[in-house]
Amino acid sequence: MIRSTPSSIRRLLTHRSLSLLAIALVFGLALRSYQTPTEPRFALDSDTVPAAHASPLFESGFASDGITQLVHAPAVAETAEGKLLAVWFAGSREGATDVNIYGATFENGEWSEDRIITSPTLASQSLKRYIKKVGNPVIARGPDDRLWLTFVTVTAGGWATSSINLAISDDHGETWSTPRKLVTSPFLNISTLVKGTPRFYEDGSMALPIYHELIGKFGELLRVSTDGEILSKTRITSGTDSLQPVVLPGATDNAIALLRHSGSIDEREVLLARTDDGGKTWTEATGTGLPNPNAAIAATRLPDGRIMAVANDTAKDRFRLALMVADADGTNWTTVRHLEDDTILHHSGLNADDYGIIMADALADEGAPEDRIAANAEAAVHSQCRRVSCRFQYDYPYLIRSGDTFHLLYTWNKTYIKHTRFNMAWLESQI
Amino acid sequence: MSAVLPLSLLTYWAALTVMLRFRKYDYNKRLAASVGLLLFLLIPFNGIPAYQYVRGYVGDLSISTSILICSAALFRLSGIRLISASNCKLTLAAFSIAAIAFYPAALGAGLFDPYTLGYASLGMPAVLGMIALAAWLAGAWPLMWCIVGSVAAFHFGILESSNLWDYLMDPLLCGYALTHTIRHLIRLARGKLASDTRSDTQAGSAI
Repeated sequence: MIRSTPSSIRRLLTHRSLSLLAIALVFGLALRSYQTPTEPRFALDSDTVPAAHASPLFESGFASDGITQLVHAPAVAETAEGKLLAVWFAGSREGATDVNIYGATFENGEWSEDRIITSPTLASQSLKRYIKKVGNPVIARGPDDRLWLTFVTVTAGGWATSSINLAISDDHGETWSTPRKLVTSPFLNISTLVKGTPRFYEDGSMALPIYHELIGKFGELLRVSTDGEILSKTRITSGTDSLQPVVLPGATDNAIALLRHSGSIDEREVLLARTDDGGKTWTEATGTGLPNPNAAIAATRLPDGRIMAVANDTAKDRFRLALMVADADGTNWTTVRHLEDDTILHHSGLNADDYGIIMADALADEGAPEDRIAANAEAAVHSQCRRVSCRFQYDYPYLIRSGDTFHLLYTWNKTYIKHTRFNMAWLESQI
Repeated sequence: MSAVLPLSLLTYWAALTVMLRFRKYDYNKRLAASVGLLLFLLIPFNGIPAYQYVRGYVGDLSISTSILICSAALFRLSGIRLISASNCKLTLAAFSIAAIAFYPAALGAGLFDPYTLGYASLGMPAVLGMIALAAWLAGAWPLMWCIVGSVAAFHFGILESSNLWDYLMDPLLCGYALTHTIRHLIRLARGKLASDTRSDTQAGSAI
């Protein structure tokens, strides 16, 4: 039965003058409230650097406590109090529903016990929607000393269907604001992830490197206001081969982006793109000549403007992690040191038993808690061994500078988050 | 967050109401079933209301979807038709064209991303204003109200998104619009073909 619309409702909806008034009112409001965004100008590091005669410093140890079976994708920020706050995801396996985002604090030379920052249950409650898994946290301290934490959540499918969320801490990471969803894609807001260190603009907004990996794989730069609203989004690359951009401002309006290459194995090298307008437009990405086994990169600027990067300098697999330095424009790369190098072991076709023994020895050498070594070695066997052989994996580096000291965190065989710190004096002694 | 949750609940409820076939039941039974559906969406499962599971999977739908699906739900429940069949076809055709022009580039084809125009720009509202005026002139009321409603809701920040495109359209609306429009075009083509065949046959028999 179709009833004709009550005539009063129809008249109201189709009244020409009223409709025109509605158009005028709404668009008038929109025009009136429009505010031109400030021009994007990168905020540059203003850390003072102590005198060059400081003695060389190079130390490393585990940041995580080894309780969870698998850990991955660390990030770190220095709080305004001078402590480090590291975050990563951990659980029984990557993408499991028991995976949580963990954090730990580095103070007086020691890492605290791991604590849960968020979980699928907590994220579901705060985001008011079902969340199946969480992962890939990224953290940075803004010019206002607030900590910005972004992390991905997934409701259905794998990481390619992720969306990103933002929480802010006003108390150096003790507590966090209710996370808010950042809507960055028109297709069900899926397939946006984070990895690269956030940078900031002079007006306090955040320049967040993001990437997509559903259908296409490409990097973008998101500008997020101090209120957590997205102001703009810029495509750094397009196509299907590049992701996880790392943005390195060189001046207020120019920066370099280094990207992971996921194309065919014969072509994989770290990609580089440039911007001269604060990230609004980027040049076409070109190869740097640095091999890249489809793995994440970390980089930062040295006080003199040169670039320092940490990446897997291999064509395939992530058994070697290199510290490299380049000129300020991203050319003339030099390997300074291999921070991890298991080339021989990785290719020796170890079986699970031999791998477990070697891993237990390595864990002991690295200072893992004695009562956890056996369990950690077993976990490494579980995650790194296949029928044919076992592999060594050092990846997902995250690098920040604090004055003349650099802090590097990376995944150590998916078993621990390893923290390495060194200073300019040590670095100069190696170059 | 305050307005987006009830709006999402309303939209999902309307969509489910439209999907259920009510015609054989009388008005009271239809109303009861629909209220039951709404209550079901509020039942918590593992601490999360059912509608928030839907929200996790499909996200917040656009204002245009909310307007159109609520009109359709009203029709299903009460028989009150707010949108004529011809205006419905025109509106869906407009969203089909927009979808074809928008989604490939927005999802990564090429370096130009039209989605970025929806953040803090004057250009997109200006173009939408002109389209709204054109729709007003043509009497395409549903399309006009979709645009006006989207821009108004964007101004007040009703949804989580700060991008005007997310207020204007979403993939579910565009997918439905494309399917509907393509089916309509196929029917038109078949109708024309049948009509041409009949004309040829009549001409042939006349000869």
